[in-house]
Amino acid sequence: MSSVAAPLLLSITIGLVLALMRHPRVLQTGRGRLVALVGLGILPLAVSALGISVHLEQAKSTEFCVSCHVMEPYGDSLWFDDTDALPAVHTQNRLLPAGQECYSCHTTYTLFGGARAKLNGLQHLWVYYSGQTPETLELYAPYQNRECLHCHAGARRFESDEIHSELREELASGETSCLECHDVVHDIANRESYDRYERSRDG
Amino acid sequence: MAEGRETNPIGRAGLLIVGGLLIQLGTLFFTHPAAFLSFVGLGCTSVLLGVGLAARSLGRAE
Repeated sequence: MSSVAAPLLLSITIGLVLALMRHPRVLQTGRGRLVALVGLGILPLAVSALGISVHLEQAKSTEFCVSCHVMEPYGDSLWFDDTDALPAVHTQNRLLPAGQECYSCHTTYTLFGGARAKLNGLQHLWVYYSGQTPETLELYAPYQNRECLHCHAGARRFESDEIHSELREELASGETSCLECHDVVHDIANRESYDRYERSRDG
Repeated sequence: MAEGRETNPIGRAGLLIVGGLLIQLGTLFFTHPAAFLSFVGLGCTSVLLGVGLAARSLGRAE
């Protein structure tokens, strides 16, 4: 919705400002000053804020994440033909919102998780564009079970699994990491050895 | 002609705002970090400068 509204409002604002520039005499009247307040102040600032929100929404997309070259192998790993690889299983079985695979797993499901993810994203941009990208990419902190359980807790397939039932407390407390068993994540070191699952790319 | 330009209190401010908004409009169609940075760094900066200049010009004209 806002991705349509933002360009439309931007165009209207541009038109209004151009009209005010073309007819500056309007500004000498009381009503004209009111129009100027809206056209040269409120609207430009409001549409800028709207535009930022559109960009931040677009920043959740996998397309955005993998547009940095260092992330390309990670995006590629979503399509490894491997039923043990977590990113591939989640992507190819549509267990994540299509087109938001990176963000869905790498945001933090807490009160300010979305804001923190975006601040981290800004930091990534700075590191990337200032040429400080490290050779090996690492998470800021160990991956939390909370992020997995946000979706899986309560799901029939998860709950009915014997091992999950046995480890329920440990998984909830984080004492046992989900990744201790599900340990094939972004195996980009062996990228060349994987086939790619092509069908879902079109769907 | 030159006189007319000088009496327009929002000439330069309007140009800054329109320029900034055009940059913003252009970047909205790209899902890329560079588009986001251009939006904020060039677009928003230009709009803010323009709005500030317009407020100053209009205040002075009053």
